[in-house]
Amino acid sequence: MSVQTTQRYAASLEAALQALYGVSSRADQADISQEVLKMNDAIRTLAERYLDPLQPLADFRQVLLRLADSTHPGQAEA
Amino acid sequence: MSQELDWTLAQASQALAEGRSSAQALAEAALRRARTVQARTNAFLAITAEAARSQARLSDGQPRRHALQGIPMAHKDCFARAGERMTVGMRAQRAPDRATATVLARLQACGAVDIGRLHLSEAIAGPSGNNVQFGDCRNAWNPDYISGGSSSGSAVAVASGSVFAALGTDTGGSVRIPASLNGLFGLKPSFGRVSRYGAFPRSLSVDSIGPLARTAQDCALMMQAIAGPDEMDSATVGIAVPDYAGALAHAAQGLRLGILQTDDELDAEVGKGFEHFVSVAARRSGSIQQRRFDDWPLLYPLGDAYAKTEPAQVHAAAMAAGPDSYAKAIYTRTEPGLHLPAVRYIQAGQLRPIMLQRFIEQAFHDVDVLMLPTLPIAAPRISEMDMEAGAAVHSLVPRLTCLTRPFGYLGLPVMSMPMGLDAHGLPMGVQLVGRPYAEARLLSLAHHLSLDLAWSFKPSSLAAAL
Repeated sequence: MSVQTTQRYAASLEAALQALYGVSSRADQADISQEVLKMNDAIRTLAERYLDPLQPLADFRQVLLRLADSTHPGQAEA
Repeated sequence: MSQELDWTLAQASQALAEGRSSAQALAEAALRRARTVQARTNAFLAITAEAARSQARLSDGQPRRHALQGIPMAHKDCFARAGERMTVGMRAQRAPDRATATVLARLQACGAVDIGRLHLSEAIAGPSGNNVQFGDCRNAWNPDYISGGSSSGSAVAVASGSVFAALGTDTGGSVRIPASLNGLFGLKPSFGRVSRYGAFPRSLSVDSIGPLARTAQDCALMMQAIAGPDEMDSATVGIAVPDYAGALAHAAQGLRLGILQTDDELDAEVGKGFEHFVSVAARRSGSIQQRRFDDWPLLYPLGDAYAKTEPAQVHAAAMAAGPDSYAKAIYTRTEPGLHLPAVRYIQAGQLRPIMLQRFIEQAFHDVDVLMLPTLPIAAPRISEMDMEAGAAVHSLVPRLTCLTRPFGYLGLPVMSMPMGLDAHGLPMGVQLVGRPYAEARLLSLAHHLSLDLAWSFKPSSLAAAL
């Protein structure tokens, strides 16, 4: 992303915060934009690597149970 | 000096069972210690002496029916009590709560004695134990150093002997970090193991509630009381509970240990302490595997996405109504959560089971428990951690949570246990990470390793209690 694009994005944040939530920023917008872009870029990278619209749908809790340690006693009586 | 406050929870319980002490005697000793500790560390937001005395009297008048009966405790002030107000570490006054949190109700049912409400970071946000609204909490071992947070008071109250155990909440390390910095055992259970009903949320998709205590056995006794299905928290439904105390002796037998290698830079003394810990662990398990996870550097921002967007959803209206009711660090840490696109939040959720599966396949290949330090740095002084200075919060938080936050996102159980002291005599901790719902195994391993390390300390000898 170019420096100019990043700067334009940072400049837009304060207005977006006010328009969407009625919240006034108390931070330097460059710091906020850096934090947002860090999260955005990481998720974008992993989404491109691993997400596919036709992949099987997985429920996080079910995956936890499927991968449970052998000391776990299993499903409780509902 | 109250010798009984140097007992572990299990020892105190035994003394009560054998008539060598009473709930009222323990409560009086705990209340005296709490007042001393409060003056030195600010660990309590409220000491509820009369209520504690009344619970202790009731306990002494009843037949003994549970290990926790008559045991003084106190908890982070983010758990609801019917008819009372919780602060959540914030100045803005909340209405009295209508119901009691499931975990507190379960401890009450066991007959535990609640002596007060404990300090926490504002809005459950922040790993250092600072709080602009109520003042900082100070380390039990040396009040010049940070207590860790956000379960700051929970760690300091237990380490100083004011209580035998406390509950904390953990989203990015909030049980493990203060446990590590105060020489305690702190368990962040698997997602769904313990009901969060009635606990003020930080990040509902990630939050877990766990005990802090002076031994693994004490954590096991606490887990036995609080774990288990609760229809008020759908994440817990259908998940059975093992016999944690019963499994303490044997659940670690024959397990395969690994070191999770990351590229996060460690302080020299943390590295040295970890090396020593691993050498002790190796004597127990034989060979130790080295493991890595390719996507480790990206797990932190994934966890951060939850830890910023979900609190933003909780606090947005109050931020609009009264921006100055929040400390600057809390407010500005929440702001990015209001900006992250919904598409990314959805993707972070879709990626979660995939990342968990990949982590188990790669990092847990031929390994049952992974080890890594809890913090990459030795305990910082309070003066080094000014969260309110400029944009410092954005760099200080990851410095403290880089090794803990990824496991909240993955929903895995993690025990932080002591691994030794740094050059300034402050405790350092190590994380034992298990596969999902491996709490019994982690408690057992921590129990045995603490015996191998000969780890122990007397609360009465710490600066906070003297």
